[in-house]
Amino acid sequence: MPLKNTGWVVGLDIGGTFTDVMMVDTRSGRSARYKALTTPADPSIGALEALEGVLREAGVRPDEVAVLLHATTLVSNALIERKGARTSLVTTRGFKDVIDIAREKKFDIYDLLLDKPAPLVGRDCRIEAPERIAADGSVLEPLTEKAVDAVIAALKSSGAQAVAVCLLHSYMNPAHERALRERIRAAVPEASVCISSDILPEMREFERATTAVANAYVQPLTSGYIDRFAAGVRTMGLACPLFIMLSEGAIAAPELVKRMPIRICESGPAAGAVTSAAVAQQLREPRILSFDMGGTTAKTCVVHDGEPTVTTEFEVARIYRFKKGSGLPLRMPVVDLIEIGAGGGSLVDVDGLGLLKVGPESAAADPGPACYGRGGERATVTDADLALGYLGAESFLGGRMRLDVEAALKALAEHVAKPLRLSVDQAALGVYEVVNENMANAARVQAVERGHDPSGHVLVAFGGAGPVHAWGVAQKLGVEKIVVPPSPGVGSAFGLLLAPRALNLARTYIGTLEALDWKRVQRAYDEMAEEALAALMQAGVNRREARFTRRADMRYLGQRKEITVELSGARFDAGRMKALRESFERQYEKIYHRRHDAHPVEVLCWRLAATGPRTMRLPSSKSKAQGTPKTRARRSRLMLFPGWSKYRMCPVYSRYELQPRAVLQGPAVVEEDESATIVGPGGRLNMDGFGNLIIAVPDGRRFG
Amino acid sequence: MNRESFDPIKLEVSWNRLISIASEQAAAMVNSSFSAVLGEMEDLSAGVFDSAGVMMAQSVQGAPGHLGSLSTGVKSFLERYTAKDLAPGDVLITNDPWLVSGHKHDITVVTPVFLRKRLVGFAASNCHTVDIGGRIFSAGAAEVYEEGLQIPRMKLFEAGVRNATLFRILEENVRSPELVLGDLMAQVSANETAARRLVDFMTGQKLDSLDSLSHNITSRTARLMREAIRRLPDGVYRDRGSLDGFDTPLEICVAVGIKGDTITVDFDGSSPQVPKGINCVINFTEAFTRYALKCLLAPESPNNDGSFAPIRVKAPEASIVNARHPAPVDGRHLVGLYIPGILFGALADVVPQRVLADSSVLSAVTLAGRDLRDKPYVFTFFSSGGMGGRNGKDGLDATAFPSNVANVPVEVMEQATPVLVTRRELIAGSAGAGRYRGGAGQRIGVRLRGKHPATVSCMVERTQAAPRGLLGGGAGRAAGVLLDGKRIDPKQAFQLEPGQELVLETPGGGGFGKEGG
Repeated sequence: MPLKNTGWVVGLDIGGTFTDVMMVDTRSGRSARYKALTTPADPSIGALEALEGVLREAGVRPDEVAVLLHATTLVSNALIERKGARTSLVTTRGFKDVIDIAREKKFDIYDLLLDKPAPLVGRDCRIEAPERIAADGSVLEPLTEKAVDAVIAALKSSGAQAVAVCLLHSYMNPAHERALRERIRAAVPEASVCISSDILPEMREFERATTAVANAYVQPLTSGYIDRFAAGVRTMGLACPLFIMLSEGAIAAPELVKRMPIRICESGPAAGAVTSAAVAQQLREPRILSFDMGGTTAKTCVVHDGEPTVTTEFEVARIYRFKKGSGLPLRMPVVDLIEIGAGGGSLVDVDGLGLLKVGPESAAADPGPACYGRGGERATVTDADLALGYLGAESFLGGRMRLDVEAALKALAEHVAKPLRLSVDQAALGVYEVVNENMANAARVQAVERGHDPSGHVLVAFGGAGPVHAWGVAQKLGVEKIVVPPSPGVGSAFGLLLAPRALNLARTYIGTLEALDWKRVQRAYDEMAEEALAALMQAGVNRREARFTRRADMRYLGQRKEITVELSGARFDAGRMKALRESFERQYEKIYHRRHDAHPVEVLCWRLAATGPRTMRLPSSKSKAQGTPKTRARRSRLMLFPGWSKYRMCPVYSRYELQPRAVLQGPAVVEEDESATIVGPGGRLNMDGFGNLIIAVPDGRRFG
Repeated sequence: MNRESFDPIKLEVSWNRLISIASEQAAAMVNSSFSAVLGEMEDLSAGVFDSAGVMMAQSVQGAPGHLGSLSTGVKSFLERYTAKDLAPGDVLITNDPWLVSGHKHDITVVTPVFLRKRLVGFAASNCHTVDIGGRIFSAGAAEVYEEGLQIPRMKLFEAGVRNATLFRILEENVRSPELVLGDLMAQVSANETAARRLVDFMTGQKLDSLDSLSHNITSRTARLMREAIRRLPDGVYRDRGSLDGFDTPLEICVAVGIKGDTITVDFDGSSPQVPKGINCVINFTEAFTRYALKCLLAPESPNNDGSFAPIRVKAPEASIVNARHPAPVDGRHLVGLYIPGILFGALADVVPQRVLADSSVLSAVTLAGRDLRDKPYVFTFFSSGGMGGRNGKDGLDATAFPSNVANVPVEVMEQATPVLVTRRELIAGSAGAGRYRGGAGQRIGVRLRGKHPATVSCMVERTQAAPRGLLGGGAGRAAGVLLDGKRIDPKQAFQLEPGQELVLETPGGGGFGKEGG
């Protein structure tokens, strides 16, 4: 079904607190936004309300909607709150405890009271099958009919709603897993079944089992949700196709999501990364750091050459919030982003060392920051932003919500200034500095671990709090340019409209370059291309529109970690060997400062990315306006910036009153309904021909 | 030294940066490593130091025994080299057990960091290498000379030029030179990454020296430790624990003296050293003593040399916890890993809310032979049993403590060796009973594929001395090694024939508090 690019395209993002809608009429360029509270018990209710709301306010008939694109926290919430299906796991005999034993190490060596995340499947729901496949894929012990019957009998008595199957070395030979899947489907039709070689055909049994189990665990829930939501949308009168965002930043058909629901785990943050990628393409900026700061968390990722980096290592449902290693490891394609507990609602604390700490705990929406006046007593980042004059008490959420400055100052005085023996002003600046440093550090680690220097990047800032903090974060990263796109407060919903319909697939086939059977490589790529094309066609892409990118995970033979190298061309034979080695070594040297000349190079995994068109693109032609339009501040307000000893009056502008080519000097604030953009002293802001705010940051690298 | 003070915000920012540099260093080492010991099991540590060799920050991941002794190790290089002996591009190395972490299987690499040609600090790492010649990884030696090649403190690179002689000696003395040298280069690269980041950081912060920052970090940390110690009642608290030993049982005795804001841990009365490779050098004893006390006193603050300041360790010369050269030491963790449990026993009534019952001791099995393609291999896998029960929580099943070494996935092991793993399962009923039970131990079975036998060395403790319960809790199940179902003495190296099944059973953790109490 080809997309009608005529009509309204709607992006709907369900977040932790708010459900955001962004819609654009591709004919006229008109747009509309809407924010409604998320309804956690059944998020489809809030989503449908928001959809109804945006159409009503904009005066658009349901049948004018050409396509509906969706992102949701449904899957990650189900994993965090453990609200998935009753799931059983089938393993190779002798290995049912692998998901308990995990990797045996602790994520914190000093915390003796730590807990490890419990497996999603209890021991009583694990079934062992007598069978064995060796490391080379050969069958050491066949899976007998009798064994299959026993598994099925056990499944029936366990009352499983979902089944995951993870057998040793199934990434080399999936025959036993496939046989089990077919028989279970026939014998236990009420349960959904997924096999690990389908979800993640890669080595390392614990991570593969965890991923397959997580997928099975959320499968019934996700299928039910998608069906209900789609029915609700139809009832409302929308006759358009519905597509869903995958964690890798691509849009897929509901059929694929029902089969691999785990792949929508990070759909919202991924949509944000897509927004940054679209800005990168619009501005032809090759190196971008995406910075998305909301109420609870901040997400950053690297966008090079207009594409977010996609990784396969990921952790969900961290039991110690945001502490690396405390979650369930999943292996699936996901935008390579780092999420930390730094948002507007992050709570401020003073620790045992007498140091200021911000987050990761959040005041969330209830009670919220002290300045919301809903019973929150402790100081948050938003309280500090208000105290510093960066947010206006009258202009928050377009004036619909008045902020209580006195409450913010009181919270800062009692919980921050007093224990640190600082003035309230210094305390507020301290909060701004520390939360910015936390985010800058996360962004820096994210970049440098991948061999990039953050200072050479452009920061694209969005999310409600992103444009407020981008100035401080940019300085710490040594970034010289910030871009705040239009409607930053609903940045992720916007990203849905800008994402391509796409799919990433992978096949494990291990061998040194010299020993590979290139015919087998070719066959793997041909099969993947066929599978990906079928999925894209389900999502309305036609054959001619599909583009394929091939990559391989390579390492020096025996090394722990592979690096992903892009491959050119679609045909593979022994003649490619030398070029492949060179591409690998060039990239290796960039990260590790040297090559191992005589050492054989090994390929582990072959990846294919299939990409179709985007629903819409950001405009590529600028406004033709000439001259420098007048910019007038709406009002002024007392503000305090790092390095200042006292508050000074600074101008406050409305973004809606700025014209393309408008220029203004910092210190200043540019306000809009869902956010505010800070320009510090010495900064210079101009609105470009696309309506982006571009800020030049002098004296970057203040903190190196 | 410049003692300028940092405001709390700038200090927090800089401190975090140092920790992230050390963590990036560790991650780079893991990612570019060649062996499963580094890449999967992460038996390593990394840290950044000031110009006086004071550890300012360590990696978040890492093994406590390494982390504690790395700090001592870096200072020992400063006894050998002064700033004028070092130049940009130099990389230092040693595996002297008495200088760093107690056995030759740990290689320490220290990279001096220069800012505008001036020595400003060090990036250092310490990793378990898959082989160092001599015997395979085992406790069987009578003298340290049998335990492989000893690399004195020397330059691995001099002004960027590799020490070709040392590389050749290494290459010809170890069983898997490509893994050993590959891992060594991973250390060198990772240190270089950390060194570059330190220079970037100092340039950005306009710092000429790290020493004042280091002083601020360590003095705050020391103050926090002292405050925690001061809250404990003065007194001398004792405990003793028995170990399997090699031929005869051994004993570790501790007297923990708390006085004001300092702690003195005295190991007087502990068994004399033995002519088998399980003796601990004092550095290693100190590392686990410091580690255990930090867990009890200030677990939430980042670790650095400041944590060590209020702690004194005394141990009788030529004992199992302070071995004298040339005592054999390769399996020193078989003794050293007991130390935290015994310290917890001593302090059980002083800080009952923090201590845990005895845990398993990390078991290691090393196999060497020829694989299915007739190529030689040597492979060590580590395996943990249960952690002790805790006040308010059961112990964790099959979790490394006090070490923090990960296991190796079955599929990785089978790709790297001709081993077929027959099972990996928790042992029912192995946890010590108690109000809060211990963690369960695990059972791992292996069989060889193909036609070649393998030489096997097991380093397994607690086959006799099971993990004790604490405050009325029951003991966990002891460890065992079985060959085709029959218990064998795990201390002796032996030959595993194709078709035979070797089973390792790791111990269950002790229980905490009286059952039903």
